[in-house]
Amino acid sequence: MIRDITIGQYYRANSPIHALDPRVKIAGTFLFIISLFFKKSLIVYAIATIFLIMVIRCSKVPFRFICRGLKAIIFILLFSVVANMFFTPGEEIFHIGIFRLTKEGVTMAFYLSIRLIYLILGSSILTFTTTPNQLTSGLEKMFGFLNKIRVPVCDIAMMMSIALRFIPILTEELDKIMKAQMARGADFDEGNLIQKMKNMIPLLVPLFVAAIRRANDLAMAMEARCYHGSEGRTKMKPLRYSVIDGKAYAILGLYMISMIGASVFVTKFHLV
Amino acid sequence: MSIKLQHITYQYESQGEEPKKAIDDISLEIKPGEFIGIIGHTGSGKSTLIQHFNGLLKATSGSYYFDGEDVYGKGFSIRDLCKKVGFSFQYPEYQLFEATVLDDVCFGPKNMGLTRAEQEKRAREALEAVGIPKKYEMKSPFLLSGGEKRRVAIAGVLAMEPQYFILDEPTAGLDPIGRKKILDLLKKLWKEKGMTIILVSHSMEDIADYATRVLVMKTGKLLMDGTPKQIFGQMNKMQEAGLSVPDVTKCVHMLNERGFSFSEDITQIGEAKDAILAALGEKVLPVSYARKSSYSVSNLSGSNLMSDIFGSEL
Repeated sequence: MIRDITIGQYYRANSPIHALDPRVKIAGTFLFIISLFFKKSLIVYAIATIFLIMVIRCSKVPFRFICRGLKAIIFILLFSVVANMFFTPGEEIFHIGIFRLTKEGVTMAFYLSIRLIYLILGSSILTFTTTPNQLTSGLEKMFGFLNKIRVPVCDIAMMMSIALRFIPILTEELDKIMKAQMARGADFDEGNLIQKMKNMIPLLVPLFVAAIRRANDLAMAMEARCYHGSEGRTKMKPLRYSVIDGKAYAILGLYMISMIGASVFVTKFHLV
Repeated sequence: MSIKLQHITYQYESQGEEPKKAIDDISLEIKPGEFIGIIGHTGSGKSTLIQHFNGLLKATSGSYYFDGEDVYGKGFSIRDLCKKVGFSFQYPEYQLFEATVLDDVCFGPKNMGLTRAEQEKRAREALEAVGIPKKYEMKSPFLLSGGEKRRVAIAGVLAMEPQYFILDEPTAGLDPIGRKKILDLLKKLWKEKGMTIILVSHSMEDIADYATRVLVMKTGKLLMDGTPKQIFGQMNKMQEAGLSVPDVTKCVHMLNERGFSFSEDITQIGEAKDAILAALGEKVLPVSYARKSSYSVSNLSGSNLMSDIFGSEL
């Protein structure tokens, strides 16, 4: 029943993007999103589009998979597009009653949707090509400097990987508990909101107990293998930059320069 | 009053692969009053099959008739099926959640819409049947021992007074005394209350000692269906199916290889003892007498094997 939750939607494939160090991808996604908020102009967004398409092609993730992420925001998107198209003051094109379609509105709606769509697509590439554990490793290394101000980055990273590791296990446990209570006649669909919340108790209590029991066992197992906190631990697969990462950073750098350059160019010469 | 499956198949989608069939074209009928044992290698589809009996899973093809009614037809209430077909998962103690033992056992009857008085009455009867003392009623279920928790969980299903009781490995993780208590309880329910018991187990001995009919599953299909003697008498076929036979049956085979000729479908230690004693020319003694006397057989021919195998059983 609940088995179809895919965590982080990682898509297994053998592509240059998959092989990149997660830090490059995280930094890249971050910079890409920033670049979406530069000057609103067709030339600028054309550069962004070319870059995005290149990355998607390189990642070998099928396009329809990537578009799944868009499903989630389709309503927000539609709503904002309509709101912007018809309620932005400006040069009118036509109107139906109080709904005035303006030239400015169309422009706003267009750039708004591009930004939103590209934002989702960009982040999807990150999650499709990087496993949750790689992401955790990458973030841990990137935020490592926080250790200097006593933020326990390594421990937080350990907590995150354990949590990620146990999501499928606890999901299975929940499935079992649900079936066991259903076999005793429990019904999780009936009743109003309050009733439904009460019906969750036979699910949540055993689940909590199960989670705590597992945590207990895991802690003992870790201690039995001499775990004493995350300080000074080495990694089996340490993150090391390689040539491909250097190339990726270079391409990223080029992209940002062209985006900034194009924005300046367009502003200076009042282009579209 | 029967469970009748016809050509049931359960298929599920696997990420990126062909859809897999957990169970493939199974037809069987379970009549009231039987004590059925279901055995099969891991992944053979046992758990999937039994979840069809009480409606937790719906077959992707095939039909299921319960007491003559079409379960997958319109108007059939799956919820009512839950009340008539009780189900205990593996490690059922993990489903306990209430503040007191009594409340937890009342959960099932509560879902049936009974009054609090009726719920408590049934709960108390169920707790007594499983051997949980009255003083535990107001205790938190989380403070009981493993075996006690399990019996409380089973009481939780019994309180619904089902006609059929399905148990998935009810003795998993229990000590020998705990296991015997559970199995004897099932036997009692079967004999005294006429409950139809369906037991999934990995212990061939338990199945041989308690079941009247055995279903053998292999890779989603029903391989064999017969009495324990019929099933365990075919040791080679069982081993091909990735299963085993009761230890005493294996022992009898080994003895036969060394020149004895015992019946190959001996499945219980009592039978083996009688057969061996008869073959050695000794009188078959009543069980109680044999246990009380310190009967030493070590000076009989071919006897070292005997005491090695049977030790203090004789």
